Amino acid sequence: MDNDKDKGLDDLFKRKLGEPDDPAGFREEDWSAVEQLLNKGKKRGGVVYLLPLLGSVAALLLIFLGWWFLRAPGKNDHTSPAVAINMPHKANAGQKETGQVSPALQDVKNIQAATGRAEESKLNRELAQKTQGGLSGADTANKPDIAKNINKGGELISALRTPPLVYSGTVAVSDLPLPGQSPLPATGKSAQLPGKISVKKQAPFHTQLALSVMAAPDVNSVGGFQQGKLGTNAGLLLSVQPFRKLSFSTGAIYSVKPYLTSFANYQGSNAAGPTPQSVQADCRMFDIPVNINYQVFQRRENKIEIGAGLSSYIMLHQSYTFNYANAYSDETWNYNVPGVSKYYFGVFNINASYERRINSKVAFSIQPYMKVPLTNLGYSQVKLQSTGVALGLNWNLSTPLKP
Amino acid sequence: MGEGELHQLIKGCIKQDRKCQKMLYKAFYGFSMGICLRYTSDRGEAAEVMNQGFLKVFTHIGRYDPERPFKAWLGKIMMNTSIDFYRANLKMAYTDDLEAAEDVSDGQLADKNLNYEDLLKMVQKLPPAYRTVFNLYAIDGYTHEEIAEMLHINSGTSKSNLHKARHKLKQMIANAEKPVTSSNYNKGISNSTMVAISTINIGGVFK
Repeated sequence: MDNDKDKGLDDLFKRKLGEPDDPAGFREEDWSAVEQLLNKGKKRGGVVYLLPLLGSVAALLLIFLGWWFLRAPGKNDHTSPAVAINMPHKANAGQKETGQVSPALQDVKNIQAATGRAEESKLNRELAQKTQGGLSGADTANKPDIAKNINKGGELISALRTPPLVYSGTVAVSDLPLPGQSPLPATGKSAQLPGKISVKKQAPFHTQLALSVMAAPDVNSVGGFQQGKLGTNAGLLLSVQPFRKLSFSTGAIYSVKPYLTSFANYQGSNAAGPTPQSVQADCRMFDIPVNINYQVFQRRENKIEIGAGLSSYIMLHQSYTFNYANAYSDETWNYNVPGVSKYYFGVFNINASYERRINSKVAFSIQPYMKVPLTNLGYSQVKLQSTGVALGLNWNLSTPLKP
Repeated sequence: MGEGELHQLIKGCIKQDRKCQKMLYKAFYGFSMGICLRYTSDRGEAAEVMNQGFLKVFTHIGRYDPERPFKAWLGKIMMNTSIDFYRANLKMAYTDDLEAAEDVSDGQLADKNLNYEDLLKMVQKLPPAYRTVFNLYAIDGYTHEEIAEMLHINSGTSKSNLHKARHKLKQMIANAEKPVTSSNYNKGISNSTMVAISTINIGGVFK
């Protein structure tokens, strides 16, 4: 009896609500709302299309800039207090240059250029005079050749010049030996002249501030990277280095993280109907990292750091497409999650970075990283993990120390 | 709208022709809104859900199989979008004590003019969990097992929610003021100055 009553009630509502006699009338404002959604989808499509492209272009540009700057020798080496001095040395005609210029001392040529060609010419003439005066009879016949060579100027001097000598510290110009005199003794990199050379001490450390632009392709997946999907990241980072080996960094990175996962991992809404086989997600978010970095190696322009920290994800857009095993043409459902979702400090970051300083202001860096979820993320509540390589261009904002 | 005209519109929508999209929207507005109204609590929500559904329709219309009825395909999208909306706004606190429902007799119901708007209002007043199950079972014809799969609940919960939904509806019917002659629910219905009033023949419903 009760079942009949229930059935009667159901039939009543089914009859009246299933096929309304007077359906709701059309409202223009409802269409306007749909139109806005359609227009939004078009714009986002454009951005979606452009974002990986822009990320790739940014990464290539960074690589190119790094290569371009690294082609030119560094002019300002703030890390090494050594001063390299190249001095002409008395030599006989035909004497081949002995020894080889060590790679680290190539910068001497820059100093030579800085002193001016006029001085070099003067030295050339003095050297030529002394050289000619010291020639033996057998070499007299070569005087014209020597003269030619001398007249060529720098070419002869280059051939006769001994490898440049390096002194640690400062040397007064008046103490430099004139051509023909014995050079100042130099033993490797740290020649000490009693009473003449003062070795520069390492400058005191001041807090450094740097701004970085970064771009990174990465792979995103749930539970292993077998079904990883390629995503893109781009953003700005600010780092503060209060200690010589320790720094802190944070910033904002816009990330596009698509991933594919088995429906077994999905804990969000079901699209109704038979159980989907897999879920494809498209998540766009701001990644706000807070990292601490430790410098493990630093020499001249090169620096290596390791870092770790936590990231917060602010998910601006989540879209899920459910794929069915026995799919009809209309059996792929899509669900867009409304609103913004926030996951504070829900991801653990780990990275290692190599930085190459281009000059006192600019450095190029490359940083492989991994992001491990500490909590379930997104509407689907999955353990989304990412790994990638970030390329960065770093700008030193700190005011250079006055000498 | 004839089949040929409909297919022309669908072709235009595949090409993302805005005019065709609007015409399709208008043509199936009433049908879609009718589905969304009974899954939501008011017209504003219904419009939002319907628009999300139409967005899916326009996005995936290239996948529509012309061999199948378009209305069924559209209706399923609207239903699924409504369920997604329900899931996205799932409120856990829908447990309430059931008051003893009055047993509604044939005579009592005969005096009440329960039209579409009245019944719709009653359904909309139900808690979301009860409303969704009632719609899926009583109106859309799904089994408890299918409902359980769709809503990620077990069939026992589905049966329980249906029972509670019916209980509440019976209460509302019993408490309904007589006679119901008009409703201000249909705000926005264009060109409609009269509300259809029909006496429901409930003879044999509550035996």
